[in-house]
Amino acid sequence: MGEEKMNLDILKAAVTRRRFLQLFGAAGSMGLGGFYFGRWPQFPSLAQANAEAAPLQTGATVITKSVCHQCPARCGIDVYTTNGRVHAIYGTLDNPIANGKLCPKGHLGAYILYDPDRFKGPMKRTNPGKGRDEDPRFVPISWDEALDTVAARLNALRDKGESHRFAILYGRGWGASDAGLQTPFAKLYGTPNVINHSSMCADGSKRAKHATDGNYSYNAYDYKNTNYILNFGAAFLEAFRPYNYLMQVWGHIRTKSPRTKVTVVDVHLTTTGAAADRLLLIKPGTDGALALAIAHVILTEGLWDREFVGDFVDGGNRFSPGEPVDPAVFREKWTHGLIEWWNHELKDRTPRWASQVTTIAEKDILAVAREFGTTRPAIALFERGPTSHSNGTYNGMCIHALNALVGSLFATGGPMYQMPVPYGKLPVSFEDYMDGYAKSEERKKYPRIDLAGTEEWPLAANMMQEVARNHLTGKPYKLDTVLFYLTNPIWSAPNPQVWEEAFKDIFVIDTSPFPSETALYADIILPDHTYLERLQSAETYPFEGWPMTGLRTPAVKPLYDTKVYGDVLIELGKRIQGSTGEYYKILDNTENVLRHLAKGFETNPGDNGVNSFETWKEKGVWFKKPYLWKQWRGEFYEWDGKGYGKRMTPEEVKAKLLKTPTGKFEFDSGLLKQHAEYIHKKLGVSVERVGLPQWVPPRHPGGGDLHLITPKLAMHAEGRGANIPTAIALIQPTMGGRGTVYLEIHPKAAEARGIPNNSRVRIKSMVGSIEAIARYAPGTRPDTVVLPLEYGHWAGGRWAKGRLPGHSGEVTENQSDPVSGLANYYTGKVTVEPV
Amino acid sequence: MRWGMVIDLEKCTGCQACTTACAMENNRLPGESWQDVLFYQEGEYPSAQLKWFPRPCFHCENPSCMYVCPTRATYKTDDGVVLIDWNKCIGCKYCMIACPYGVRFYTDEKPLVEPDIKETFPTEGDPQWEPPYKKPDTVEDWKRGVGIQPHGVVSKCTFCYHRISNAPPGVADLDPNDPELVEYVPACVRTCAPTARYFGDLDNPHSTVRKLIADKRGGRLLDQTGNKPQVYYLTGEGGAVPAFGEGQPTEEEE
Amino acid sequence: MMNVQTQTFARTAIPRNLGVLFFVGGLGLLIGLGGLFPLFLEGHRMFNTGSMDKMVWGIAVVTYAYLALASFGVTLVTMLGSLFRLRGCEPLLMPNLLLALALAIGAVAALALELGHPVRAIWAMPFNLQFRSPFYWMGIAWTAYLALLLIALGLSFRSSPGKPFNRKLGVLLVLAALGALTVQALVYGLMAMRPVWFSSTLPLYFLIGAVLVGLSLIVLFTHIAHGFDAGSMPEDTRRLMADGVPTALLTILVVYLLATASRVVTGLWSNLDGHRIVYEHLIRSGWFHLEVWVGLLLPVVLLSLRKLSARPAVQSCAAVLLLTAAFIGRYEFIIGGQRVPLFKGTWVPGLIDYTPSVTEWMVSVFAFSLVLALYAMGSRMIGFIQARG
Repeated sequence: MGEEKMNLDILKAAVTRRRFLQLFGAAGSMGLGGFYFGRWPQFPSLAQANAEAAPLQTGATVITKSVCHQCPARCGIDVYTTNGRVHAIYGTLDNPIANGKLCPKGHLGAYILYDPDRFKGPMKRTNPGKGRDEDPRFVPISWDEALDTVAARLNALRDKGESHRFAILYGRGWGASDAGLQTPFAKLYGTPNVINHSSMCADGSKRAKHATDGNYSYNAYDYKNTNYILNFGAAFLEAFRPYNYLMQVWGHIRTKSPRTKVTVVDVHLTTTGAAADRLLLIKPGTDGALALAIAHVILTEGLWDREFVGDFVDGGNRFSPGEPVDPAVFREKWTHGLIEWWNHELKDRTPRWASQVTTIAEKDILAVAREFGTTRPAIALFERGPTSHSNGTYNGMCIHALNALVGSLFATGGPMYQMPVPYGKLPVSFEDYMDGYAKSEERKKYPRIDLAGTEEWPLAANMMQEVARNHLTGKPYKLDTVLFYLTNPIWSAPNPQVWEEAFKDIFVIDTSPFPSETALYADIILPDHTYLERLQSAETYPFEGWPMTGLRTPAVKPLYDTKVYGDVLIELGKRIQGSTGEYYKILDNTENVLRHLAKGFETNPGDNGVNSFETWKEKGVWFKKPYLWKQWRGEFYEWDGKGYGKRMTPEEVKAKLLKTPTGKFEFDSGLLKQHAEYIHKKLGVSVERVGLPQWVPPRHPGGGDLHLITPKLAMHAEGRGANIPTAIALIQPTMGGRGTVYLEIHPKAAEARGIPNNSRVRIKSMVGSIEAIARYAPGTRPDTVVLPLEYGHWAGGRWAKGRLPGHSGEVTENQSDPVSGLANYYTGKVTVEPV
Repeated sequence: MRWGMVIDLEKCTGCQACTTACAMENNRLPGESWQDVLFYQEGEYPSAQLKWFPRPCFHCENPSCMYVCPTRATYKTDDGVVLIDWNKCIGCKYCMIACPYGVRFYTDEKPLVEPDIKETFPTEGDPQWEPPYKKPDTVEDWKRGVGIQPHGVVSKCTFCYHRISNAPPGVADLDPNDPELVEYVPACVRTCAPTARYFGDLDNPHSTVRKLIADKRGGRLLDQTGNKPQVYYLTGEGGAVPAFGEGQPTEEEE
Repeated sequence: MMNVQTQTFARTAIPRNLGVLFFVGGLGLLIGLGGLFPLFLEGHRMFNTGSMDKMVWGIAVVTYAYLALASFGVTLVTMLGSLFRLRGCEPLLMPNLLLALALAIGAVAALALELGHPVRAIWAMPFNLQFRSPFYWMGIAWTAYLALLLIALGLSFRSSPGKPFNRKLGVLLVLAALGALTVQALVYGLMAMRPVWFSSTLPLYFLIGAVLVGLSLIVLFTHIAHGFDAGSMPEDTRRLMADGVPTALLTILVVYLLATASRVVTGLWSNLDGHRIVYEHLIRSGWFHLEVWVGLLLPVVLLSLRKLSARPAVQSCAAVLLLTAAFIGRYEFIIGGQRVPLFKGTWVPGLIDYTPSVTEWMVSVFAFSLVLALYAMGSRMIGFIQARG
């Protein structure tokens, strides 16, 4: 082994030209840097670009306010630039999310800006053949040629009446000045296909909340004031958003008086679980059963919040295991359907029953239920861990119901929802510019390519994971042209092998500034700026409820011939025939868009004094506290300018907060009842019971005997981590993953399969097989293996490409929760064998 | 005046932001973590334990690394910081042998991540590489081991000496939340999201660091070596300091 | 008497097999230099050493330590023989001093290839006066030792044959060698944070090893120089080699075995964290058993049998075995002391693995070959000078 390495070393030495030249005095930049293994055309290399920049000597250091781009959190960042070069990034001190801090990814920004594998300008493909090993033979083109090519193609489709065959597929958009421009573009052009990645993200959580409290959204949380967190599968200290802020909160709640107690329910040993007071390693997909048992105990032991939920008319407690209750003897206040839930589900969901389903000890279930039921305020939170299973929405509903039982919704120290930003109006309204073609009945005939919102997926907002399959089968039709923005499903979708096949005959436009699998399939590349070069708004994800929006301002002039995505859309729009072009001529550019949005701040100045585009740029963020509503002891109040002094009527609560059909928190979901037949057909739940948060056994596809869990790690720098050496060097610290990620496997599970520690294994499912290095992790469930999602790229840059282990998506079947449409990433079963 | 650090393990989330902030601030190579976070696993499902602690250079009161250095390249400043003079270091690596805490790094080594980033951003001069994101030249200070490392020398955490040495004289604590002081705070302390780190003057009885050490029973690692670190750990109800770094506690030989 | 000495000198001054030694040394130098090309091109990244999950000091340091101790050993044994006026020693004096010098230069060469800035060391060490560093004292001891060796060799050239070696110089050389050896041992022995090394008696252990290696080398090179033919030696020397030397070698070997055994037993018995684990690893390694059974115990047998032990071939064989065992022992000591990582987390295995790279081996090949070549060249020069004189 050693010998082999050494010989290689000698070989390498012989070919290291630079050193050789250096040794013999023939020094000089030979332009070796900056190319993607010769695959991409030869733009000026980074070394040359650097040489052109001013030398790094003296010069004032400038701090530019911007917004981080490495997770959805939208931390404000201070970008330090000297002589035109970015050399440091720190959290902005007066930004409410960052508070001067950053997570580990935040500091990697300069590596992304100066990524040597970046695209240096627009390019077109000259090799029509597509595939993993096909060299696209890109050649550089001008922006005019690039935009004209795309526009001509779109116009031609429109001429044929086939504009629906154009789709925009996008991932983590930032807000009004990028992703927000897409829907008007699609409407004006005449396609229903603006498809977000949310169904491969966390739609299950949103749908569970929608079904119970009427808000199709993630929650904001008042973490600082909570005294108990019951966390189901949200990697609070690794990947949950806003990660940086959550860690700030962690430092606070774990040392405040009283100290916030934390129980973590997860399927593998995480830092979140290890840092918590209690970690319950649950069988994948059974979180709902645990939540039901907790609810069962809360009711039987009389621990529910009577001021929010209501009470028995005589004040007694008739909740007794297995015993139905007469609905007439219980008067509900802000909830709906508690007794139906009890009678038809909860009464039999005892801790003993749940321990058999979840493998969690009965005593632990009891302990958690009693703690959660007796500590106020308490939050039950969850995200895609429990929801990316076939029963995901129901799991989520069971968990969210706990928040209602303890009365924490909209309360101090409880969950709530995010308020929108009061932006100014755009100079034009796109509806005014839709032409006859766009408005025609003919256009309305075509469903979205992913069939979201049709009878196929009636409750799904997006179904991106279905796009490739639908295109292949031609149902509902075949795509012609696809524009990608901030998403790379040819690699990241479940079972992406199907995408590799499907996208061979689609004209692909990629807008990423980086090489990727999608770019390898692209016919044309319209590279975006990297985030430190962009002018772009970033409205906050659900955070603390009050509205907030950050602004990216370029810290440096674009290093290369790139164009911000918003401008690409606008420039394309200008080239679309008919009135569409007129609309975009008025819109003009993203800066104009942003200036109009910022007009809204004139009448709504932020707490930090931001009242214009200029002040927004200067501070990097606009925000305005407080959150306008509060539930206190079973009553809802609205902010009156000084305090929560205005009591709300049930109608106001229904309109603003509990947006369900009943205006209450629904333990018997009206939304799901509207789709009773569909749910019955897909999940086998009886039509009468579809509305109840309930236990539905999950379906685990894949055909193996071990659950495969593919978590996102703290160093997963949004889409680029696999090509950042510093991130690679620190990727999986818990397992000693330096330079790679290991498959975590319980030693007994490994030994039973003849797998030695630190040895190469094959992971197989019905859809594919990959290789990884297995490392013994005694903390892992013996029925589960863990392979963090990060590597296995077959494109993406010099560090990403070909880095083991294989990509977990290739052994993940494309199965989705029929209710939310969420892809079931964490549910598949695989076999693991020695190689 | 004696700079020192306090790390509260009850708050530390093991996120490694200190590590990446340090890598960015000091232009470290991938994996050459002056400020590392070390993880340890013990036990077995369902009661396995995962623990961690961050480890900068401890800038010891009695630094064994300094005493073994044959050229006084490693030295202690008047404000209590242990630094390396890259102009004097001969690369014998004896200090790496003698540091009980494993905080020192030699430069000319196989890269942890291939292809070597030094080859991606090459330079013809004495420093090993020249990334486009490197610090302005004005920050380079080889006498204090600050900047892009030249060939053949040893490096380690400087407590961000290029930052702290500019702090107003007599300041008791470098509070990262103070806009007046934030630019002098070491990178790892500045970015620590859960505020698990504190930095201040250990000689000042009124400093926050001294108060924390007193109130929360601050302890030091491997006190038996007599090195007397100037980095103290608070363990509170969570976190733990392993007695001795044997790497993985579980025997991996078989 | 006079005649005998002159005759002897002529014979020892131009030893046999010089051509073979020169060829082997020269070939080794060529291979070594060629093999070191990557080091000159790429620097120390060609070593399998490292700060993160690897050895800090690798086989280059082992080679340095081995050659240094060998040099001290040869000098000590030779000087003691000379000081105690052991009959038969005189003819071996100059070749041995030459051997000691060649070994010393080989050691310094290995160290220079290991250091990041060897040239800087020449001025930075003396000018910075870090009295607490063993390396500083090592520098001083080395300088004194090399200077005295050169003086001793020079004096030997000038002095008329048969004139006894300058006793004062001999005492100084012994002191310098002992000093250098002690400091060399304390480099490791002072390290409280490395339990495998930490010991105040380490200089004694090093001394035993040095004498063993020194004596073995003298035996081997004396036989090489005489073509493995005891008959070609002067009578006193022949008697010494047949009788006194094997007894001395056996004695020091037994002492060395006891010292080794006590270290291993201590290591295996110890509860000290980071100590036992290394010795458990050690006794599982095949190299250790090769060292003990073949390298040390077989020579005990060979040297104990009176009929065999007088034969040059048997003595040379025992010497080669002992030299090999001592190298393995030196390797185990230096590498073993670093096997336990100091404060690294899960990403470093329980014990650090180490396999020297080809480039690192080339440092050893180069240094050892340099010793041979220098020795052969030196002997040749002495021959010329003597012939002319």
